[in-house]
Amino acid sequence: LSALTYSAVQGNIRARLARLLDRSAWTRLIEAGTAAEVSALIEQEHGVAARLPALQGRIAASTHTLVRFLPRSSREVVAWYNRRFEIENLKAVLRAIHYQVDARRAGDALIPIEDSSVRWADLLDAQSISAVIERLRGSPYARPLENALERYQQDGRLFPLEIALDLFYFQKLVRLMESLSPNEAAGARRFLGRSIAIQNLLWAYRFRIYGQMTPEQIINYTLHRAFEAGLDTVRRIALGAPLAVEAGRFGFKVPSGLSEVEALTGIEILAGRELWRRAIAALTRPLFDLAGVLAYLWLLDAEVRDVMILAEGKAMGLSGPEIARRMVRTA
Amino acid sequence: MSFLAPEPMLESNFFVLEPDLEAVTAALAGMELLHLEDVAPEGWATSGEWTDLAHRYSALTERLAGMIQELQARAPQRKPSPESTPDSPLRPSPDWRDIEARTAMIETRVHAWRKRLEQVDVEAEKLKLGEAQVQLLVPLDVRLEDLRRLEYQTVTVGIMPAENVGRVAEALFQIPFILIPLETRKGRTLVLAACSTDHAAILDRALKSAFFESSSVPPEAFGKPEEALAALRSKAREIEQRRREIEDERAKLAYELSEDLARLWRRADACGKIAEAIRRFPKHGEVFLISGWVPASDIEKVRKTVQAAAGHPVAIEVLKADPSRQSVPSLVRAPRWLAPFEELVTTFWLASYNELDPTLIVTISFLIMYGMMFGDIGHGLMLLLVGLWLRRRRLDFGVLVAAAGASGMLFGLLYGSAFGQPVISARWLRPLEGMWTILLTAVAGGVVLLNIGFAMNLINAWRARDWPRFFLEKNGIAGIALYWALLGGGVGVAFGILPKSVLLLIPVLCTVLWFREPLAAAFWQRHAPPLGEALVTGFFELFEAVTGYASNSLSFIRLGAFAVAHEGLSGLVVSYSKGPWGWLVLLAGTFLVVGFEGVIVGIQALRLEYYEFFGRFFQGRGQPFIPLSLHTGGRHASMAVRT
Repeated sequence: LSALTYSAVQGNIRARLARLLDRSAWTRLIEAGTAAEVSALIEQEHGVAARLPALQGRIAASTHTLVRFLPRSSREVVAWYNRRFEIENLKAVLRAIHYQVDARRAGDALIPIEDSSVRWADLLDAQSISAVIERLRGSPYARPLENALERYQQDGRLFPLEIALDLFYFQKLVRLMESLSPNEAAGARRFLGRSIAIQNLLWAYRFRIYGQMTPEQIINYTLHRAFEAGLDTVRRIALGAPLAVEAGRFGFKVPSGLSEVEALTGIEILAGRELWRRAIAALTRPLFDLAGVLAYLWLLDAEVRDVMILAEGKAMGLSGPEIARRMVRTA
Repeated sequence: MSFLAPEPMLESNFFVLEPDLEAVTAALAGMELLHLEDVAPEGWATSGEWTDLAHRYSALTERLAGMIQELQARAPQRKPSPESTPDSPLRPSPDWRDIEARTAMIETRVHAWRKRLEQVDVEAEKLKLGEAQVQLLVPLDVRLEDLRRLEYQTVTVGIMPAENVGRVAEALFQIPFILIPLETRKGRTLVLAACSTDHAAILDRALKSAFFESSSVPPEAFGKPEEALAALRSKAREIEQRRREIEDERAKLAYELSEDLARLWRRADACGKIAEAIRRFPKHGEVFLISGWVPASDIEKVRKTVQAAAGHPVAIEVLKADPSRQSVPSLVRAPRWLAPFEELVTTFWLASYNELDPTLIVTISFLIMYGMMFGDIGHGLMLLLVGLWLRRRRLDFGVLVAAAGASGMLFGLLYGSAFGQPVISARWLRPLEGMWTILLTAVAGGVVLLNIGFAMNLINAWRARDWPRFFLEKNGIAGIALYWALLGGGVGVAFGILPKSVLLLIPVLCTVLWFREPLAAAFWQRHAPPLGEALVTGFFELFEAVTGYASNSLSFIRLGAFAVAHEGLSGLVVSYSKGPWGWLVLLAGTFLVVGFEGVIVGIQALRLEYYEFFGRFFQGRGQPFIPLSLHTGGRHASMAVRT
């Protein structure tokens, strides 16, 4: 039955896989002399400018197309997963309003999401954060933002609004994943679940290391249900568990002698590489389940992330091998 | 009789210089005679600026509509009327700033009023929370002043997102605490939290990071809890009074602003429509291309208006429509009286550009069929009254219902029946008595209608220059001849009117229909599948056509059957309406017959129209003529213009 329901999406992904950058394209990109050359190559390959919003907009559009072919239960998960771009846009809008950035300039930084029901230009025209929330009424984002509004007004920082959005988005994503059938849920956990767990772990450490937050704040600003990194993990981190120990539980070995900040960056890259390998392995077999779809979407994300690292690295004058060390892609 | 066929259309391309663009587009939109087409000639591209402006206008219109709604002022007129057209020339790009500035000015006043209302609401809400908090303390029988001076305990009350209550409890895992959720409204929970003073900082951080909003016991609450409650309730009444006063200001504000708001809304809406249209026009250098369809009879009027609106010459290219390669919109200029019946056709589909519009014939045949099945003076009168009542409520559908009722009354006269009783002598027959006559008449009527369908198919095929369809198809010349050879020939030979040799036509015509595709390929170079495949499909199509002729004609027998059933059912109601509760049975039965059977009969008549009649000639798939307009939906966004 699963083969039947996923046959259309499988065909679609198979057709699209060829559009991912292949080994030779990556070699050309790494060997490119400047960031401009990288941009030109990307434009030639993908037909869109090598700008983060444009590339992410392309992923959003691809996901939107795939969603139509998915069975109802997993369709909801993938459709909600795709809303991460709306969350990114909302954060960009909030930043633009908070720092009073020109609406046109801020608009350029937004991810073009064709199927979004949010009127981004209208939001950017708002005079205040509360006006943005007012204009979001009717969308699912109004309530979490409204909940955090008073804290924002008292602290004068965007953090409460941003974290409220993130928590709202991920909590619902986890709930949707948990409501899948056991087989589908297992597939979803392999990529998305693992990725959410790692992110929760990194959040907890970032809040502790960079934010100097207290345990109760760390617990309130992280996910309590995040697969391998649930409330127990967060509590241990909040109470001071060393990064090497918690990372070890996830199978990541932190080289000794690294500071916690350096180790955090290292874990991020290691996690990315692990998921990249898993995605590649998943795509070498038939894709008749949700895991195949998520693996493909994850590869799209990873490709964009690597392209941006490459472009920024070139702009900073880093050498090819130096840039490659920061990338998720290993071959 | 222009309403029998869509208006001839001309493909019109206007090459307009940028400075004239807004004036020309506004003039075209004002005329409502141009159906826009998206074209993209090589080297031409649309302009991003106009997309941006269109979005801005859309947002502006929504803001204005929001204020109108909020003030419950006169709602924006969606339906166009002469006074709803903005009076001065529309220029979306320079007008934007002015409309935006005036909107902002009004918004300032509306916002100020709303803010006061919100403040009162917040105060009321806080008071309510305070009340709930004090209510909790009633059993303690202590003075609130004493509670405020607690030395070893920290107690706080406030609201927080309902989903965060559990999270806060988890976050406080290091300290002993009390957390009591009191009530939840609109996803927010009123919470009482307490811990020892030593841990107050932890509790405070945990609550704050869970978006807790503290609502301390109102300062006016003092004394014992019951005394405090009375004071708070009195304060709540005061606030309620203030709220009423602010609400009253809404009407005053609406009175002052409604005219300006409506005018601004109309202007922003119209400018938005123009910007939205221009957004679609491709541009090359300084020249914009406006492309679309104009009714041939209006082209001169359009040409003159465009030239008058532009400051510079406008190159206008006018081309004849070629429906074989273009999708040409259908515009039928139907008389006003026919408008309520259009839906009989459009529910099925809209006539395509090359087709005759069957609305008139469908209206007449539908009403005859309906009346025939529902013939009763009393029941028809009830339906007529219902229809007139619906019409009074501005529902076009009412006219159809009333006409169906009138037709029922007419046939009731022919059947001599009112409310199932033979109150007058039948001008024609009583269905139950002349069952065979009415059944045969129904089939004969069906044959007439099918032949009208055949004739319309021939006209449509002729108009489309589709010769295989005209000559060789089951509804073309060959098919009609076969139908009559089967029906007329059969009946004629059976009654000895025609010689048996007439029947020899049947196999000849069958062969023509069977070889339809190879013949079309031979005579008109139409694409045909391989011969074997064409013959197999041709055979099955022939079989379907022959059985279809019979079943389609016999299908109309239901007209007679329903007429008989209607009389029978009505009679049954009358026969059971004896005794003390007889009037109730009569009333309920009559409503059942009129309501239930009235709907079924309508469905049956529609079924005969759509399956038996339309199947002969109607292809539909028409594209409605939706002219560029300053009004939402346009004056004639449908396929028909009332004349």
